[in-house]
Amino acid sequence: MPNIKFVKVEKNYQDNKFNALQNINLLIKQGEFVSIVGKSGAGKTTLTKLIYAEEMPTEGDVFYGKRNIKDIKKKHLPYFRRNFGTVFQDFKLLPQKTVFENVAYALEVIGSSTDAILEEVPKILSMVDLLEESDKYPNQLSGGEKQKVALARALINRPDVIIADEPTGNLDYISSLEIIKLLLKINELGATIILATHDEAIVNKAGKRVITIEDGKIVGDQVKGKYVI
Amino acid sequence: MKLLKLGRTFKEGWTIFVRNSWLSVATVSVLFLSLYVIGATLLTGMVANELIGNIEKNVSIGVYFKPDIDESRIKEIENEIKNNEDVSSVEYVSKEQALDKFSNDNKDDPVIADALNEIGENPLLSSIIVKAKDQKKYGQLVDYIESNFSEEMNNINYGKNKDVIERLGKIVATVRKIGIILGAVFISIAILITFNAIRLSLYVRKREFDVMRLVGASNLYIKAPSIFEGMFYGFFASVLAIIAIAGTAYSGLPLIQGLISRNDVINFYLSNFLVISGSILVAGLLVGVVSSMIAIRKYLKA
Repeated sequence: MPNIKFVKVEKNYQDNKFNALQNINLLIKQGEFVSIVGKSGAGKTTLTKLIYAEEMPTEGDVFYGKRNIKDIKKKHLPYFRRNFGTVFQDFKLLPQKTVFENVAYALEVIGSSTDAILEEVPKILSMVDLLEESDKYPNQLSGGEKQKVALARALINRPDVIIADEPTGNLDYISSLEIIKLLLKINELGATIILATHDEAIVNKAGKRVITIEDGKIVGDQVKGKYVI
Repeated sequence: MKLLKLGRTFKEGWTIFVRNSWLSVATVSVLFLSLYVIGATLLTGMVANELIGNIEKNVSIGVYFKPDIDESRIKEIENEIKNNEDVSSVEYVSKEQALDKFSNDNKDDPVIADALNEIGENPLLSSIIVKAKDQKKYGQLVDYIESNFSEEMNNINYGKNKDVIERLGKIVATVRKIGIILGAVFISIAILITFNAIRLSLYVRKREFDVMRLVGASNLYIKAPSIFEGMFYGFFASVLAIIAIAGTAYSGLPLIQGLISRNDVINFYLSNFLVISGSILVAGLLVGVVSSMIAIRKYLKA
């Protein structure tokens, strides 16, 4: 599994009027669990988007292993993104598909056989404790359950990296703890976890590396950190 | 794997088509109307062509001789005209044959029978019926006959048929023009409405595209269901249009039965079924697919 490296990265918006990230130098080693913390608008989401090439740096380079994301051709981006599993605050589930179909979709797009889908999806759903909800639609689930579906979908392709952007933003404390436990478990299985959040409780619960961002700059990087702003 | 993905996107396209049922009904209806106008114009044009061809085949020059010209001279003239390279056939009709035919054609009309009895003798003239190899040569042939046999000739009738053909030709050309203009207007409206219907359905699913891209779906994989959706609009509208045109041919067009060589307009429709329905189907599918391809481009930046 490759490392992720930021070298002198700048990201500007609105014709360079707004600097979302400034001079970011960062190395995330394979298999690490990293929490990126900061206030709203600090640049956490922009930083994660640069990792899976949803955004491109204005200056500097972002490497995934030896690949510079700037060099990836547009038509190869969907294939590059299959290295990452992504989870968001608003879940981003497909509303017209059942829990099973939502998770299966990630396998369908890469051309997995129907047999493989029928074998893999129930395994992942039981891992997140949602096997019995397979036939339900997203609007029939609680926030915590929706996030577990999103997590299951992110995991199904066994990606090298899981990027979770405010995954507990819409969840109660108990559900948040469940999600963080699942992320820790996935990390133990070998995946790199990048967690962007301003949820103090789950950062402290994880007890892993914490990178603090303020106004687009890294202001803290602690190996076994606590949420301090 | 490509086949598997194709099957999955096809199924997805069908699901979207069924799920947005009202939007689908509206789009299919407008597209159907446009295709119907185009198809009906095509059919009318084909029938009119058949009709003109049929009338043209029956065009001939009737050369009527003065009563004092004897049969041997007429036969000589017949042979001379036969030798003209533009002539396809020459048929001699004696005054007796002409009377028989006239009497037979009017046997149910007592006024004409009484008039013939009153006259007491055969008032009709001997004639020859000349047919040209090429329709365009009739004018030249008339000139040739008039300049060489004017002394023997009583009259020549060609002008009447010529007028009928020219008038029919003008009517057909006008019908075609109207059909093309109406067809173009309807097809433009159909493209716009299909395009907007698909755009609306894409707008509703805009967020889904982001999700699809995030899980690593290629642009083609995201695009394909919408292209199939457009294809379904085109397909169902075409099928409806083909059925409606068949219905029109069955109920309306028998008015011209007998005027065309194939007796029956339905037979004519059936024998041209592949051309008419094929054209409608291709037009429908093209409108559906092209509209969806244009509409989806907006939503698929990498």
